[in-house]
Amino acid sequence: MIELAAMTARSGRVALSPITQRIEPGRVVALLGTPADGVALVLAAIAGREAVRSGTIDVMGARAGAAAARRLVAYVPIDARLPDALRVDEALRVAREVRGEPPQGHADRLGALGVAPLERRAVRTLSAEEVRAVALAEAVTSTAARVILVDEPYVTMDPRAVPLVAKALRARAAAGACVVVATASPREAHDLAEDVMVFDRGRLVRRSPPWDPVLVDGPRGVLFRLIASDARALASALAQDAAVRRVETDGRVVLAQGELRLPLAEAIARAVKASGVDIELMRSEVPVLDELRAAAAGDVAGAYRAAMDRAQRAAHRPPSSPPPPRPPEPPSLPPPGESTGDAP
Amino acid sequence: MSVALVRLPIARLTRAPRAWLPVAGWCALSILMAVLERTRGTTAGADAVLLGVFGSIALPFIAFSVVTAMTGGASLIESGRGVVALGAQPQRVAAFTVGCAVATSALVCGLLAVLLVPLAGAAGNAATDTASSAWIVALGAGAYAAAFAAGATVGPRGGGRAAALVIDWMLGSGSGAGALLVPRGHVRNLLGGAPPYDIAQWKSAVALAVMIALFAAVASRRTSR
Repeated sequence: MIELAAMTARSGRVALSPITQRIEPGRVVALLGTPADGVALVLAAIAGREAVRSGTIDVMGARAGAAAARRLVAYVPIDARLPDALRVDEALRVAREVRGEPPQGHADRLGALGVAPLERRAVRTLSAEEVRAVALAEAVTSTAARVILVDEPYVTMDPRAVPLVAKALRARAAAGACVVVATASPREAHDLAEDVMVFDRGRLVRRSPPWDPVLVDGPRGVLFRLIASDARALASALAQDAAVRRVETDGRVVLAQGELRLPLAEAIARAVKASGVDIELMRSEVPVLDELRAAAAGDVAGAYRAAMDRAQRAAHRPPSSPPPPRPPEPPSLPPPGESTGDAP
Repeated sequence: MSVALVRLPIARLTRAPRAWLPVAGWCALSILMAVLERTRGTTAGADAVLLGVFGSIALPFIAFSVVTAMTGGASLIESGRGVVALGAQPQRVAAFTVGCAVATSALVCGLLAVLLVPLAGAAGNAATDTASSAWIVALGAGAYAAAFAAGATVGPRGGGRAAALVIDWMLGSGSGAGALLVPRGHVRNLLGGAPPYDIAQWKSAVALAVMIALFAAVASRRTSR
């Protein structure tokens, strides 16, 4: 378990407001935000690499940075390092000895992320992507590490490892580890994590599960991207449906926007049937980080724009059309400045 | 775990032949000077070499080269990042790196003294002179290595070790109180040169031992993250 109690930290121009949170083992938690929002700093502070200015961080009962905590933490930052003068298998051996683990096959450990061919390579000859893949393989296969911290799991990552990252992290979480990833991608946070913390300029502004409507749809509502055999026919069919707020086409791509997920999906189904087009791809679009942060932080301008949008649509709606269903109430926001409590 | 922490500095030294080039160069220069003293036929050739080129120039530069090699040319903090990332305590990583540097410098310089004293020609009992020169030089090399390792905690690339070399040169060349603070004055005193602040030789030996412990502690302390 990781416990942050009114923790603040600072590194360069990034400063964290007091954070009070508890991260339980057994789940993947995503810290959503850019490095400027402080997500990387939170990971570094938990790993003991950055000093805590005030408050405390306890990792599995030990203070972050203490020897007892370090052995239990596997930290993979963007600039991951391995012992430069050693080979990869020797580096894994050093890791095993430092953490006090029983012997494991090096090829098997690396194979968890598809990078077993790197076993006999000198660390000095590895690319940054390969170093990150080896470091992550060490983290997810360590039997002693009970806290796994990964900064941007898909950035600067060996292509062989990319398809296996999510599975490996989830497996470690399922085995009882605290897995915390920092990412600037709402889609990655949505796909990887069971618990998402949204950061905005050093402040934790929301903690919620990935199905939180604000995280899934953002302030602009639901957006589906479709690739159709006849985009124009599909778009004209969609435009006639009351559940569809806005339709755009770009070549064979159709973007359909609505208030709620299910009515919009049903509208698309009706439009596909009516127009007789073939659908090659249909994907729900996750909001971009800025939209999401604006919604999560209760951004006044964002809220105003959303309210104006709703008012204009209501003013132009034909009298015969039924009123659109209300969007679900978002989970409550934590108090500004300090956030407390667990995920709902 | 202790074995794991010495693997990296030892590997840096043994797997990088270029790291040995400056060490080999200073050893070759010292041996050349010893041979020249022998050919001149002086009775105290060993004293001249130990107090001259070897004691004042080669000894600190050999220790400097060993520390640079063991930290991979980076700062002491950066050099340990690879092992710290695998769960090791930074202070322990730094302590073991400094320990390796002290031991290697002492061994290389001690063995070189064993070669130089008989080669240059000792005035008294050759075996006694060789043995006493070897431990003095080994102690001095250890103190230098610890001082440079502490210096390597300063600056993004450990440029503080070069500053430590300059400070040792500036303070240690004289016989004033400043020479008490750096290894040069004490090594010179133990090798039979002018004592710093007129202290006894045994006090210089203690001072060098204290410097090893003190500088190693400083280096370790400054590597807390």
